[in-house]
Amino acid sequence: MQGRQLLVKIRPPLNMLNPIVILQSIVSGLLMGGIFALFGVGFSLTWGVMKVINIAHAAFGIMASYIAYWGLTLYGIDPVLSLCLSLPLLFVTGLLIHRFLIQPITRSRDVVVASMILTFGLAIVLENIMLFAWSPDERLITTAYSSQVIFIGDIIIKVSNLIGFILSLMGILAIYLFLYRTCTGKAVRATWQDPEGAALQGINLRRVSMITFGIAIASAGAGGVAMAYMYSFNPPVHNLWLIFLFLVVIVGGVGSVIGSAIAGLMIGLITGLSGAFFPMQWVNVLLFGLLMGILLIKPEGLFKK
Amino acid sequence: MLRTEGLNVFYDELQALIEVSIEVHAEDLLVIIGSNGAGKTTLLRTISGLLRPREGKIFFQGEAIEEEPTDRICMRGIVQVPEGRKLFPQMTVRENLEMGAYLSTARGTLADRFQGVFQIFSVLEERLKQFAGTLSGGEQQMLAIGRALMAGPRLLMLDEPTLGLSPKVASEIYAILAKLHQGGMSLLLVSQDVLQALRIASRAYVIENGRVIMENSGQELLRNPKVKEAYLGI
Ligand SMILES: Nc1ncnc2c1ncn2[C@@H]1O[C@H](COP(=O)(O)OP(=O)(O)OP(=O)(O)O)[C@@H](O)[C@H]1O
Ligand SMILES: [Mg+2]
Repeated sequence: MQGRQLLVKIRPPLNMLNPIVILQSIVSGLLMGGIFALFGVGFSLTWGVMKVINIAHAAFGIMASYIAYWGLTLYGIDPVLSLCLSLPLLFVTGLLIHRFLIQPITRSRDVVVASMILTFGLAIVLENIMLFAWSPDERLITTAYSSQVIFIGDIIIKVSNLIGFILSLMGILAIYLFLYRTCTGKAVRATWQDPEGAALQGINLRRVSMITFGIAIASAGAGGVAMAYMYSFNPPVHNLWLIFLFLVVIVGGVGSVIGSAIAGLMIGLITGLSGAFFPMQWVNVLLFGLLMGILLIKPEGLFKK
Repeated sequence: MLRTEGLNVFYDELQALIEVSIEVHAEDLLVIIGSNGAGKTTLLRTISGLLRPREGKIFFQGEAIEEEPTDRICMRGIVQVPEGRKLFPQMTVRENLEMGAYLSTARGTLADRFQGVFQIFSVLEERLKQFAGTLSGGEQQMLAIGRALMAGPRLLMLDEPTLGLSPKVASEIYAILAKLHQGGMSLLLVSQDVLQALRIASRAYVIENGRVIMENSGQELLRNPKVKEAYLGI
């Protein structure tokens, strides 16, 4: 039911031939796609670098949504500012979870499956902690500027959505700069391209994995706050986002930042556009039909060389 | 400089190395030959800490290293050019070389290291922005060696560096290895190219079925009738 709301929101009236409607749905779709992209980049990072499919990825994002929500309602702290607290917190949480939960299972024969089972459990634990702390009620972040809109021609953009989108893009840019401009970031890329080759250069794989995990969890936090600007949320909603994460990674290719980013925007765009023309059920049929098609034709993702 | 004592290495129940004891002296160019499946790669992987010996010791400059993780061993200056090169295919030539210098901060600046590598492999300088995965086989091998040299190794280990290369490029690589050796570097070279490898070797071991069966100078082994028959086909 949460999914319906999430998608219905961006669905303008059924007026197919009106170019404004089409443009409006393109814009709404892209705004949503930004969040898919940011969530997807972090998800694909742990998957690619250490073969850990983190089922709890989106749950960490919702966690940050709640921290932002609390900050705002209890202390009047702007959600963007609350990221200054939640990002380092989630980063450290990521390091600890890696040290005490992920690291021990990397010795298992099938890290992918072991990690999925482990993080599935973790997701359930997180969800229940959140249910306990914040109840299953849906929350919405409403700031002073939430109701403001800007017009570009006839197209309406909510300021809060725009902030969420910019936040997503900045998150992706930060990850990109880390991976391509810093020495540690290059070591992360080296590790996912050839772990043994990386070890032979003196790269400490354990340390690289730990940092990667911390960054992925922190980026989920940024995604969670960006999301909270656009949609209402409650603890179980991370399950819905998770499905979209798989979609993003499979379309974009595992471990590809640019691929995931483009895939996220693309999926948002398709969702937005098709939402303008088809009933909601068909949007999902279309999206996941696309997913299966890609798995059959190009299982390594659209953007992998 | 490097000494192994009675290494026993297993893959599950299959024993790949049996009581292997070898020694690399400072400024040696030590060659290890042996047919397919003899255990040469296993030996180098064990020295680099990618495999753990069930029994035996490995000493480098007097210290036991058989328990250490790969990055520690690399930090000591034991650098390997592995079988199959293990480059980072979707990183550029420059980035691959940078990764080679990942640990080294002390001995010389990064720019000096790049210059050192370019003096040996000038092709790499022309291709800095190209992705490693798109280089030709010979260029990839040069990059793999160049990457190892970026670390400023005390002991450079190479596992079949001329596999799949044309005779001309292979000869070039042997000439470069000989030159590095003359420059005072210690090398441990695994090769199937017995004739060329033994020619530049200061000493050599023959490994068969996981055991060291012969040890001598390169010249002596080249004259050895058994080696001639088994590896040179004469
Ligand atoms: N990962 C592994 N699991 C099981 N057995 C292995 C593994 N790697 C190597 N072996 C076995 O160990 C033995 C030694 O292999 P190794 O790769 O060290 O040989 P090599 O001398 O390097 O051969 P080549 O010249 O073909 O490279 C072989 O019998 C091989 O089948
Ligand atoms: Mg081998």
